[in-house]
Amino acid sequence: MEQSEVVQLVTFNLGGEEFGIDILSVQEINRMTDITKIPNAPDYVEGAINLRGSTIPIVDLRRRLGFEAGATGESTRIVVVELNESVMGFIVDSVSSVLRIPTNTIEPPPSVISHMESQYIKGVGKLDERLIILLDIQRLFEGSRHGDFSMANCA
Amino acid sequence: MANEYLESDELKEIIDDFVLESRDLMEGAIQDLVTIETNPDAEILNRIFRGVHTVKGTSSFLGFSTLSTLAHRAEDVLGKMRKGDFVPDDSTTDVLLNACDAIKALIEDIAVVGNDGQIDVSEILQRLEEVNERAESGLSASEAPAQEPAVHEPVLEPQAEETVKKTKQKGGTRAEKNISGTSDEGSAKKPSKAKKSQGPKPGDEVKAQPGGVDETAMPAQEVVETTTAETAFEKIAMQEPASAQTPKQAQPAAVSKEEQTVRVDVKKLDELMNLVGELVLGKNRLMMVNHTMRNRTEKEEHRLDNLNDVTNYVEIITNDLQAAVMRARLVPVSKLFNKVPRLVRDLSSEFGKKVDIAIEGEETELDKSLIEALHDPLVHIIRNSLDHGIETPEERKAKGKEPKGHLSLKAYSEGNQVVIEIFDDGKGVNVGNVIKKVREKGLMEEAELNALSRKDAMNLIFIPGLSTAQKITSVSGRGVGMDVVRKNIEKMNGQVYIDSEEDQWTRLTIKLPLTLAIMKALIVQVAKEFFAIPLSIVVELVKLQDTKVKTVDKNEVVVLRDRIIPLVNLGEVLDSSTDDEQQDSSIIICNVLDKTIGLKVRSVIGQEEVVIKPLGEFLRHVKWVGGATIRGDGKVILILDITTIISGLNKHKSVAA
Amino acid sequence: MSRVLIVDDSRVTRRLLSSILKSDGYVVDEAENGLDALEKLSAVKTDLIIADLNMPNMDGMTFVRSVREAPYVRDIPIVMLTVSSDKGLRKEAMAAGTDVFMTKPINPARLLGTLKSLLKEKP
Repeated sequence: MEQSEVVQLVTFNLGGEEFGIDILSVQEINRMTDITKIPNAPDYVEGAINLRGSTIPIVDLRRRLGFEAGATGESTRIVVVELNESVMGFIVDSVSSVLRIPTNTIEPPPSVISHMESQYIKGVGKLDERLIILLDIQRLFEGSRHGDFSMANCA
Repeated sequence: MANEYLESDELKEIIDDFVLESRDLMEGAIQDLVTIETNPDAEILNRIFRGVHTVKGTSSFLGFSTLSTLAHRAEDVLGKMRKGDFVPDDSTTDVLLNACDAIKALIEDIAVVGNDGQIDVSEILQRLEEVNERAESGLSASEAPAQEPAVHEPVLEPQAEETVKKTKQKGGTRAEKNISGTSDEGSAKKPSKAKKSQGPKPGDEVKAQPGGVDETAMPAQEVVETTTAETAFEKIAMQEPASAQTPKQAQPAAVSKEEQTVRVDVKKLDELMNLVGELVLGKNRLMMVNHTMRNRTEKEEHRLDNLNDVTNYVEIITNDLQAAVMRARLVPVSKLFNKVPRLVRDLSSEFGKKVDIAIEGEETELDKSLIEALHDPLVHIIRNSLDHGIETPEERKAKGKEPKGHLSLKAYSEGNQVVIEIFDDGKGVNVGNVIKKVREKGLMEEAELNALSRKDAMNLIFIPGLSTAQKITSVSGRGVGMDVVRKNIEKMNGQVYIDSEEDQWTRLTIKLPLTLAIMKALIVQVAKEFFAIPLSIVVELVKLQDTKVKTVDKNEVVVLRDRIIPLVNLGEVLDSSTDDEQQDSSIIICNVLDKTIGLKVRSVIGQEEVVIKPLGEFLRHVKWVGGATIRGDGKVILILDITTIISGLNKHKSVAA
Repeated sequence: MSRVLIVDDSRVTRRLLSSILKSDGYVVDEAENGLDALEKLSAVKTDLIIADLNMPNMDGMTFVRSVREAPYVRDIPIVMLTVSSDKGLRKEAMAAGTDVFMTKPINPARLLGTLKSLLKEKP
């Protein structure tokens, strides 16, 4: 989204906030399905699912962002993203829309966003009265690989 | 340069091909160099020469000048060896091997970054040059190249083409062709400056050197390369009378085997394997449906017979297809074994040992991914063998052994498994010392330690924690990292054992499945979840009601035919305990890490062929899970890595052992 | 359309040469070594041969001699390619019946020019 004037986002809701990620990284959006638990994985890893013959890990985004746990409902979705050639999914409360927002309305993340890990925020986009938090999914799922998992390793 | 004639896609493909071809050639050359060091053979030397020669030719064609310069210098040395100008010594082989290593490194750079400018090869060039000079100084001075410029490489110029035309018109007899050859040279003697007019190019000034070549379409660097190449070659030509170059007669009609192979990208094979895996899952599901239908409606037997036939048919075809695709992934272990002589050569000099190497069964085939995964453990074992197994020539003489140690590698198939044996006639394993160490470190209960057979005790060298600190054998223990070796092999669903006679020999035996992608597994239920356990480790199943669980030292054990077997409560380990009333009903007796343990599970569902699916990079570091698979009903279940679970438990509790 | 047989043990060299020739409208066949090439020659009508000197299973020199001795193919022009510029080899190659001796790396323009002139002379 650096140079382009407009960025296309997939937006979704989580814990009452609206989030957006670049549409280019989204592979598909699925309904909730059976998730196989993975023992010994970090708590924000919900498990793994069968995505047309491949097994992909599923992350509970609420947990990852430090939100309170929420209930799974009719609108719960799994957003499947491709990240550095590996595919993974994360759970969101609901998916709202695909939006185009001008890059110049995106502001750097405020120093403190209440009850949330601000390190995963790329910026905040404004569209009319809506505030959309742009997530840095790269970061969101990268840090986990080394840091948290090494703890799992010594279990 | 060929670039301007090729589409960029095509050029890229050719470069990919170049990387593959050159890599193969250089690996072959490295193996051959080690071979001829002990067994000089003109044909093998010729093969090395040809390999390096081809790499030089193609690399210069593609404009990889560093690479082609290096290959060229190496070729010079090989050319002199081939002509018998000088006999190489150890250090020559060292230099040539290093040169081949450097060439390989350049090739890998080309594969990754697309050019050969990342590595400084000046040192190895210098060393090759020294060898060349040494080789030359051995020759009589009268043969020194005095008239170099006069005999520089002739190229086909307009004049030369003229001659050719004339020759053709006259019918092309031998004599006339000779003339054409001579006049070619004549034309080539023309001052190189004159050629400039034909096609000035950036970098033309280098052509002013004697031996300048009319390569109008070439960048400057390449001209430099060609120039040095040719002058160097002239030197050889000058030292050798032309008559000495009678070409070899045609080889006894070793009819070239028609190429019946196609190069296939491994990714495509993986894809195919995945699809076959899907098909296997589909087949499993069909069999499941068939089975339930039969049970439900026995009356409509005749209709179900059709379903039954189809199911059987699909099953047979699927199994055959699976086997065929698996075979396509098989690679001979020679891919791995061929690297061993070089490794042994390097290690021998590192440790001051003298070692003979024998290789057997290198045609035995194994899945490509296993071959790759086997590389590190094998290197580790051989390294240990040379470091700690085989004694120095002095020690060996004192023991009345031959000063030269003996290392042999053997591979063979055994049913659905491949066996690899690594044997050395070194100092062997002192079982007493192993037991002593285990006792000192408190890695095992005294009673159990005493009950071990000699062979079982020897295999304690694979226990984690044994090898790291102190020495087992008199030097520093075969134990170094042996636990890691075993872990890696068990990750491939394989096994490794050791057998040894102290002061006589040691043999490591590795057993591996033919493939990694599909395996037989036992499906079990732990609390509410289902898991798969590799069948290769399962010894037997025991109903909990048929046996008694006792508690020893707060740990559960069962007594089975007078053996005390420690129990592991999988529900507890996997933290999937539930609050329902259901009890665990079965114990799976497994052999892991040379221990027999029992896994307590809710129930055993049955045996199934499972297709192993990776969990992906993100979950790669999750321990205890070896992968996932998808069952007939489409659900993901996890494959447990029992080896890691058990070794993890041992570290923290004193369960089992 | 002229048909050229490329004889070289290096797959990369064969591909490179064949790409260059195809770009100029030639039909190209490939052989890995001399023996292989002789078989191909008996199967397809070939207008010109480009052969490497140094190959396993019948080297270029022996190959050229064999072609020149064979009844139906003896007049096919042969271009010999080699990285070596050895004078003795050149003489020998010419004596064996090579029409043109070219050193690698090949300059495509020159190679194509040479082919054109060799093929033009054909009766």
